[in-house]
Amino acid sequence: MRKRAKKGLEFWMFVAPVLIPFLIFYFLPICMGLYYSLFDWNGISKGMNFIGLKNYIELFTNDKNYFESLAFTFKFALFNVVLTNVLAILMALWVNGKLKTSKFTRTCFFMPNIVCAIVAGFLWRFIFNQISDTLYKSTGLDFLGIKWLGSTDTAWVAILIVVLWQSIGYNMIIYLAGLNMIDKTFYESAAIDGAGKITKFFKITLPLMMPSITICLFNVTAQSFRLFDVNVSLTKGGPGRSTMGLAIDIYNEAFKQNRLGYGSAKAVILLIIVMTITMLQTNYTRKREVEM
Amino acid sequence: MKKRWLAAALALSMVFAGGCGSSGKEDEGSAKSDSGDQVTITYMQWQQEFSTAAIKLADAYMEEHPNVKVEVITNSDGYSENLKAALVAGNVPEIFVTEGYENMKSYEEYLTDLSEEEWTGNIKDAALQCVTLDGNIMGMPITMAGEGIIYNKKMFKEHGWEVPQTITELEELCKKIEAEGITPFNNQFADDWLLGQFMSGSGYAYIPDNAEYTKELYAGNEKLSENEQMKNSFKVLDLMLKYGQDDCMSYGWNETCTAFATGEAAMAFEGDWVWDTVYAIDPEIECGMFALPATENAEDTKMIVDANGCFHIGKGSAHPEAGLDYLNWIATSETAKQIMLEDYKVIPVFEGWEYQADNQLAVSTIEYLDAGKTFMWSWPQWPVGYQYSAGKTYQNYIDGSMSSDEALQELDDTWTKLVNAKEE
Repeated sequence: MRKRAKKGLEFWMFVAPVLIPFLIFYFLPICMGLYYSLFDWNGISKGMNFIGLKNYIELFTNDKNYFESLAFTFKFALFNVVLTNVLAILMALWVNGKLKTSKFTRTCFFMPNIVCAIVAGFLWRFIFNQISDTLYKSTGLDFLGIKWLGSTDTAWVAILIVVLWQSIGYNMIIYLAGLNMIDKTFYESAAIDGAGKITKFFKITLPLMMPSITICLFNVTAQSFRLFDVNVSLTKGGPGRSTMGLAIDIYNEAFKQNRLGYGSAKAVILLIIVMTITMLQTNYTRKREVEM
Repeated sequence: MKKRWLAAALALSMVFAGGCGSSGKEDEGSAKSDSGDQVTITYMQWQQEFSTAAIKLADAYMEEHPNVKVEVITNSDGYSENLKAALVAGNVPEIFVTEGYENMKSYEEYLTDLSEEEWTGNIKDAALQCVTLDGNIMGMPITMAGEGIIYNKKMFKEHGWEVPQTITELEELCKKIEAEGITPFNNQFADDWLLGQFMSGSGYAYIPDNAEYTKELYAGNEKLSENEQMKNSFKVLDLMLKYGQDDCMSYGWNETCTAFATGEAAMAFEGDWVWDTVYAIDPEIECGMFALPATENAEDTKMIVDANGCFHIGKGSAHPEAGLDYLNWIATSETAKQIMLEDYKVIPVFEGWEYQADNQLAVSTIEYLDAGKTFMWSWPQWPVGYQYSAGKTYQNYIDGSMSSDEALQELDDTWTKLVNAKEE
């Protein structure tokens, strides 16, 4: 009996330091957000009016901008997820080799991840606006002449570039770990059976990397919907509303237009969307994990 | 066994390490004073350009009043969020700054009525409207500021160009400037807030019986899409785009000030507040500002000038009477007046104060003020946040994704939405 109590205590000693902050800083604000979304509060006054589901009704019937933000965020998420994972797998394969440069390239690819997202946004804003312009004037290369942040067609690509630059390194490390866990004997027996490099990749590497793929897909999907730091520092949702992601739209609604209740309703909807998508996605990839 | 406890302790320490972090940019300046009946008052503002001046002002006050400690907090990023958080948490600052008009109105419950104070009689009429709420004076305006077309005086002198009074003269001027190989305008259209101000300076401010129109617009009896002057603002915008640089939507504050200060462009639509940035790039610059003309009639052309920021006394703060004393001191003391004129570089809101600082653009603003040729800003009277939405609509027009009719329609829709939201 005492042993069980001791085990219980040890369990809580390790779990509590993480569980308690999670409850206070994640779970509680979500509940408060749900609560505020039922009121019409401007974030400042001492009184709030209970309006029930009116915020949600307004959201679905009267807010064209919200659906534009939704479309933009989905489009961005799709490109981000596909490109990040494909490029991260390719880079992991590259870096996994026995070349002398492998360790160096590994560090190089991971470095952008260390830079804080807001700083990355400002850095790239400078690059896109000033550096690229100066280089274009001295070299005349068309590619450098594109004003990424100046047009509604290209601004979202600029955000994609910065986010990819930042997150590929992180996902590459996860894939690298996954790659290294694959038993070399599988490749040997495949080689004996006459399999070429491509077949080896699709029939052995990819299926055995499914756990890593699950993690990375989940990570990048959630991150794409939560896009905020880079969005704010690079484009602020502009030009016009072409890069108004869901998170920055919520921020503007709640704090710049003094509509905290309505902004909270938007945030709750975002939560539901992200939870649904990531649960569906995790379920799908979990089923395809192969254990050998 | 020991290892387990060590591991648990490390896990716990992670929580505390994770919890420590600094938030935003904060400058706290205060000087310790003698002990005694110590009263601490908090003074919150967002203007980064005033941060050293505010500390100097606070120090001067603390010298004369040794039992009061003034804590100056400057949050240039996220000021309104920090202020709201402080208010809602119950930490009402004794003195805080808002933009006046609608912005001030949203803080209604935390403002103190200052109508009984003596200095209210001494404020210029042009500055009074900003702080008036339902007939009561709820704050003290800090400075006046104007916005229009800043122009390079040296360049104008060299080529013999003259300040245009009508829109036709402006177009003629642009053609002459272009003929010399210089870009006439540098348009700072990456900034949606600037375009919101442009909406006023090129259109809304020109609407006759402006106060009445705003009231009717709020009541839903008028529509921006049916208004002459608003439709005209898109024509003015077309002119600026035609004679402006390519890809104007990648130019923000820094980019435009650089282009203007280095002589790449002759003019830009901005306010007298860009002086410090421009002067830092080129200390030899000679510049001025003229009102953006929108009509054929030189008589109509006026500069948009209004109070830029105002002090309020927080209702529900710990020591409002100390805060009030501080404000009264600013309005009446010689020392305070000198600091306001030289360090804050204010364009005076009080009768009898003379402008003293070196801002060449402010000199132009004062010329228009003295001549009585000014409009109110208008945008602080729009619903909170409307200025930014309007700016985004203008950006959509500039990008070509909307026609001027569609843009005007969107301006109306956004207005209705925000007004209805206010009334819920």
